[in-house]
Amino acid sequence: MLFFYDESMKLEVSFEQFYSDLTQKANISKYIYSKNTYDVILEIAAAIIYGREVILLDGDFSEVELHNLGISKDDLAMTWIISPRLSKINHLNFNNLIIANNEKARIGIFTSGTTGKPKCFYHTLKNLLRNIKISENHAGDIWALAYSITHFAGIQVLLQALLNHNTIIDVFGANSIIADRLLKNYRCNCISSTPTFFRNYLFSTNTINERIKTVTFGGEKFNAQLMNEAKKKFPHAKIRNIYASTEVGSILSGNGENFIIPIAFKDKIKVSAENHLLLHASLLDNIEFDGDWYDTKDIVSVNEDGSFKFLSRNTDFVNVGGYKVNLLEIEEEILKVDGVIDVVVYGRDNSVIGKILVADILIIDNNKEAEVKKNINMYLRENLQTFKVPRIINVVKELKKNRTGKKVR
Amino acid sequence: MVKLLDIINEIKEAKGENLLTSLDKDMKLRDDLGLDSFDLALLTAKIEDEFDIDVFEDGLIETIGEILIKLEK
Repeated sequence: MLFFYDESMKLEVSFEQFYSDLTQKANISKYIYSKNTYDVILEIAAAIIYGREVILLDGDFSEVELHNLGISKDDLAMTWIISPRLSKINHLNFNNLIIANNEKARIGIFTSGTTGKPKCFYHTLKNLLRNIKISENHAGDIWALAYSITHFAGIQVLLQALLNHNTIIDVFGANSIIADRLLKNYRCNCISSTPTFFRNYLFSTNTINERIKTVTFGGEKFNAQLMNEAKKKFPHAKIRNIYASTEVGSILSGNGENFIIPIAFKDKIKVSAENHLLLHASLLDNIEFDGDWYDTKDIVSVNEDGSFKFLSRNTDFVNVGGYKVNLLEIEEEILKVDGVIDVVVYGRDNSVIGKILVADILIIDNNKEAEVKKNINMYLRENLQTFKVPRIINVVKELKKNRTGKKVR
Repeated sequence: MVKLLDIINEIKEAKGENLLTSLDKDMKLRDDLGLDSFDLALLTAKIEDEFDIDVFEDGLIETIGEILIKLEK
């Protein structure tokens, strides 16, 4: 049975091969750093089976970036010697081996670093397994891996697939056409990614994929328009939206924009007077802060029934001429204009008003650039306060994304 | 001067205002051309893109002539 497929590396690995590779491993890298996703998977699997602490590094980090993170060449060469080694690892004992060390094994993951220097946060395996579902219902799942394997959401897909003995097809970094082909050829029925990935994928492929049964969004703000498009393109899928962060892991899941605090977390999650989402210290493995509650800085609005939805992250604001502007609000309005596939709005330094708003847009038909720009301008002037209208609109071929696949402002 | 006229007309066009046929050095950006601070912000960004000079760097400028002086430097 196929375990892992990576077209870019021309690599196809069966479960038999995977267990054999794992059994033969004699050491584990303390810093997992490889461009080959399968190598990373093997190191992670070994670390959790043998209960070791490892740190994940993106395979495309440059020497300068590693230096900036405080990681030297000597660090990269550090390994855990496995002793004693397990004589046999197979699908019969694999899950028990993983769960046996769920308090000892720890994985360090760097934040996406959209602001400031990336920080490493450690997660115990127990924390990482919090939202993993193991059951017969998942036995036939085939996962499209659309996140980086070195990031929190990628690890979640890996663990979900490993513990249910599922195939993983690597589509991370593939363009929409290749991703669409891989999803269909390998009969993927589960996919988890960022709204940015889905928006580009859903709006640039016309075909409907009836095989997909689970679609999970995470990592960025999600809206009803994307939900509707996902329902059209994946008509049989159950669509979920996950709230997670590198600091705290997966916390909440909802079936649309709204989240309900699960009963188990009733006294561990609350909303502050400023509408910030607060998490109780007991949910956090490794963050130092004052008091019992950690401020995620994520701003939510509470509905009458007690559920809530995310309005924005603190970093989504910019000051324009003394007005605090919510960039997500503007992006959502621009997405309503015909011909726009995706957009990112940001502030550019300006000597007159501090920051001037710039919108980089992806459009369906580049021959209609002037028309789309005019329509955006007209629409925003009618529907938003003047200071919220981006004065500069650039049509781009691609929106910049950070290491986690989220749009960069 | 022609490029500056184009830039100002782009800004006026986006606002749905009548375009200018020419510029005069004594024209005041706010009073005569009707540009508000957001328009001036865009004007300085567009001039910066075109000429690589931030004309408002040292403070506010009132007339077309003052912009031209900055660009000639």
